[in-house]
Amino acid sequence: MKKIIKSILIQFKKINFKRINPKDIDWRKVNKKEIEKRFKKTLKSPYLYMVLGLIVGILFTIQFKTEAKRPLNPVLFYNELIDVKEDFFAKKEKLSSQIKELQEEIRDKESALADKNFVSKTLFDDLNNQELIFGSTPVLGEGIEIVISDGTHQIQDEFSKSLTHAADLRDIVNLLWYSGAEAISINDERIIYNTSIDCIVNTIMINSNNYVPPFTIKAIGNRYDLYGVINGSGKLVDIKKRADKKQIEFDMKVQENIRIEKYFGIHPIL
Amino acid sequence: MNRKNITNIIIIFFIVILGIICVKQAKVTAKERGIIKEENMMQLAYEIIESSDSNFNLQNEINRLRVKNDSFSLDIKDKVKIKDDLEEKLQSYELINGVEEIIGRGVEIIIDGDIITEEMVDLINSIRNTKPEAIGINGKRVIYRSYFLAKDGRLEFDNNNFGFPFSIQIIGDVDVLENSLTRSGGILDIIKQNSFGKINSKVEVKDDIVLPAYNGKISFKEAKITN
Repeated sequence: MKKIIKSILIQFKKINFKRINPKDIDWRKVNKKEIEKRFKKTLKSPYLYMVLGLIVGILFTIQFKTEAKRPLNPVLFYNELIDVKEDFFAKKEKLSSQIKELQEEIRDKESALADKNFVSKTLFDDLNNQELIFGSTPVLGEGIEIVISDGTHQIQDEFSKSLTHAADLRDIVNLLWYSGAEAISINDERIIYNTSIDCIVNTIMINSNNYVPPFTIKAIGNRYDLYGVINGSGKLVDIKKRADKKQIEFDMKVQENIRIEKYFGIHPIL
Repeated sequence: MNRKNITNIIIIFFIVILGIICVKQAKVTAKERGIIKEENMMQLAYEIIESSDSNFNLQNEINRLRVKNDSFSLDIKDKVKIKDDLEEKLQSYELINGVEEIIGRGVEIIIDGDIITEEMVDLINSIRNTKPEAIGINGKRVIYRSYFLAKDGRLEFDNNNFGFPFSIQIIGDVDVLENSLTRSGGILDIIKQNSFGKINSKVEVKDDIVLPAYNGKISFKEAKITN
């Protein structure tokens, strides 16, 4: 091994690494035969093949290293995962639509039974009242509509403040209940007795469904009470501060008629 | 074939291989970079898991609704069964809406310390995330429209006002509740950390938690049922 290295070093010493200036070349003396001779000499040179071999070796190593990472790294499956996700989402919409249809059908049949006087009116009234409390029926009434979204103005080191967080939505909902709201929905997702609003990576999950900004919060109740409390000083201080700095968008409107959709998720009773 | 041609073929062969490898490497690198730049891998994984669970639950729900829907044609001949089913349905609604007393197994959390409104909202949200059957605070029922306001060392919720410490009773899946509440990095741990250890909590499993009906009136002055 030492001999080989020594011979390589000797060969290297023989090479004239001195840079040749094209001006120094006498082009009249350089003829075609000379060029061919030099080219042939270069081709026969072991260094050319050594360098080529080295490059190919390095590239092969990089290539195989990349291949080896693949089974461990989900990057390879990214596109396939996107397809899976889209399939799941499409199926979810289809299933939700089927549930909606079945719920309507069952409700219609129950109403038909009520008309036939099979069951007392009181029982049906009680049931309707409980369904109203639960959120099984769409409701209409005056109230306010709040739109909150990520802002465009980002301040360095305060990036998270330019995002709408699940905690912002929770604070708004809590304050709306405090101000006397009777029904609330976020992006048409009805808030019921066990609704949780959670951050899932960069989406917000409400009733097992994921949403992204903008978020439209609808609340039915006395519109002046709702507006007065939400707009009051000392309430939602952090949200308003971020909205003033244009870090988030926060808009509130009083509405005479707001429709809040019924709960469409998995029903614990029906 | 002379030596010159052989040399040329060898060179062309090497150059072609080099070219193929370079292009392939560049493509793979560009693809990886593009994907990593989007930083969506984790989100994608979560979304797929979430969608899978959700679809499974939705399918179960459809099966249940189909059975219910099909049973109407049979029920119509049995007036007693119709009445019993509707009464059972009403009772279930009353229990989860909080207008009837409920008894069951669950956990009790004792919160000792000056908790703030946002922490209280987050705590109730985390409890709701476990999908409990009922929640109470100091034996008073929490309903869908309950609000929480912690101020001056006191907790106001609905028509109730308590000092600290106070207790939260939850009826539901005990294992899920206990594990989610007591785990490191869980909501109670976060509240403790954020308060620099000033807010302490204790979680206890209880076999018979009794939560009375909601003590307020659930009225609808503005919201009207619509189609």
